[in-house]
Amino acid sequence: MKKKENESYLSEVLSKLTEHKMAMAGLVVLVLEILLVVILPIVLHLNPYDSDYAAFFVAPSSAHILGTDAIGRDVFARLIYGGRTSLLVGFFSTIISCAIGVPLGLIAGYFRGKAEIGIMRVADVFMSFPSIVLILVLVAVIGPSIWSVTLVIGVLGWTQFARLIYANVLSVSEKEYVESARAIGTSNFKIITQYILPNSFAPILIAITFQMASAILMESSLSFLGMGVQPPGASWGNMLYDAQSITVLSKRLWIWMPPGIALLITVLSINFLGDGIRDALDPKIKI
Amino acid sequence: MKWKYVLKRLLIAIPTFLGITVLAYFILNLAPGSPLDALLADPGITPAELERKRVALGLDQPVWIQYIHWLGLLLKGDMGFSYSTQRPVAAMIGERLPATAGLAAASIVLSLIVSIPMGIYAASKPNSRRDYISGGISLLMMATPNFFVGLVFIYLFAIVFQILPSGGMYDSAGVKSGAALLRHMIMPCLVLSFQQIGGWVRHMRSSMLEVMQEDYIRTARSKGLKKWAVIYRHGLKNALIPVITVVGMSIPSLVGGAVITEQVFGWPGVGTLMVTAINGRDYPVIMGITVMIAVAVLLANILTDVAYGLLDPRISYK
Repeated sequence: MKKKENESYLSEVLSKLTEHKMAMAGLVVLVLEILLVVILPIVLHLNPYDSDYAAFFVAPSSAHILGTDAIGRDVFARLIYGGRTSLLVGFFSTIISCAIGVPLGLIAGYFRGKAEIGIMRVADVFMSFPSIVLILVLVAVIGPSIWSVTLVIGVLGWTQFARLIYANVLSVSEKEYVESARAIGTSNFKIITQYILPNSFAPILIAITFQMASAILMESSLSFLGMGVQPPGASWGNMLYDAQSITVLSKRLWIWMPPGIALLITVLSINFLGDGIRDALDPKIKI
Repeated sequence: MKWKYVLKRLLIAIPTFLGITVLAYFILNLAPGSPLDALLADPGITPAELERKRVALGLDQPVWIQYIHWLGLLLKGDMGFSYSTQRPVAAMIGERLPATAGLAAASIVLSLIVSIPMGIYAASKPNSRRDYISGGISLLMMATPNFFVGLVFIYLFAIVFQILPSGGMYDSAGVKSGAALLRHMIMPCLVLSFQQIGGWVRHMRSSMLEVMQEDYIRTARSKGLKKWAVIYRHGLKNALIPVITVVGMSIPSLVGGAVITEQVFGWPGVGTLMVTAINGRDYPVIMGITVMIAVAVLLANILTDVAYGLLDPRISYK
């Protein structure tokens, strides 16, 4: 009985999601992008690191389809590797945020009392900060690299998850099935894992998409400021860093336009997908 | 007893404020670099001299004593001296603050002017073509990294069309004219507002949709009032109340956006000072700015709560 209900809910959600044209477009773009950054470097033997000393700042041609940068590296290869960076940072930092934020949100919302005050107050402290300022300071302390950026963005992203899950658990805990489980003496751990967590699926999924989009934006912002992925490592943000020079900005569009547009398309696709998932799961949840 | 409510909000803010200072202070103390590194580079320096400098900066004390010492001075308005310029941090921030505050205020005004009508327009016919288009535009704006918008704007307006200056605050450092300031401000203000407008349009839309389902709206409609009269006279007033919270909640991301926007346009504000200080490991300056931002955000939160309470009589001052 219970299983059947779940199936019909899932198929309803899926059919709503597939009707959402922009969400499907976003999903297609993301899948294509993942395929491109995984397959292209292998198939085309792309090399984003080595300089072609005969070709500094060369405009797009058949040898370099997106031209070369200040020290003769192939812009197309760097664009694809930059995509790897963005997706990796987005994916792993979101896992970290989720792994910290979801349990804390569950604990604060389920046990209330001191745990609630402690956890949510600390969340308040973190949230009353512009995250980029805190992340900048932390990355400066640990030393900028792709892994420190992922770690810092991930650790500081927990508040989004904790806040959403907490609010959801507050309402789920009031439901009759939780009360009846309590009444028959089910352990807290079992109630949380079997009743509360499955019913927090919607806000978790929504938080995942939005956190991934903001993590990707954050990584590129840090790299743009020179505090993220360090050269020779490729990131869309550090490719745009070069455009802070006015000659690159005005005369060498091939260097900074492609990573900017790629970044925009990626984040937009994730946002559309997130929007679609939110509408399909529960249109009342606001972010 | 409204003043009591305000007082209570201020008291609640104190632990948050302390939490922020502790967090920032201890993060900075994890840093491997020391402010003495710059002195060590000088080959003529003697160990005794170095030790004297270390004691003078208080670096020989345990971290928590340094923290309490620093907090005590801070409450007296003393933020210490910059390691790199040797000038008082409070004065350095004070010089930069008007530029950032002005930019942020202009951005809030611009965002409100654009997003309120756009949100109403989208909500006036939910799930229509206009709703989808404005929803798409706002998602696009939210997805655009502000440094990329900034670079595209500089390319278009400063390089291709040459109608706006590419950066800075005045035409030349000595001459401070209002007209020049205005021209220099247009692009940074637009860029800082870009993502914000996207978010606010969505909030305005959902707030408006919620209000339009209320009974008093149905009453107004059934009286035979025109659609737009209902929207403006009865809907808008009530839909704007939650937007105040959204504006208040946007202050942290506005400050964060200012750090990047100022960097792109060379705007001489607190954001560029912050990036310079981080690159130069100038701890007193980083700490000073961090605390200043925390205070600004807390004050904005309190103001938001109070304004919300004043405008919505249903909220009681408990």
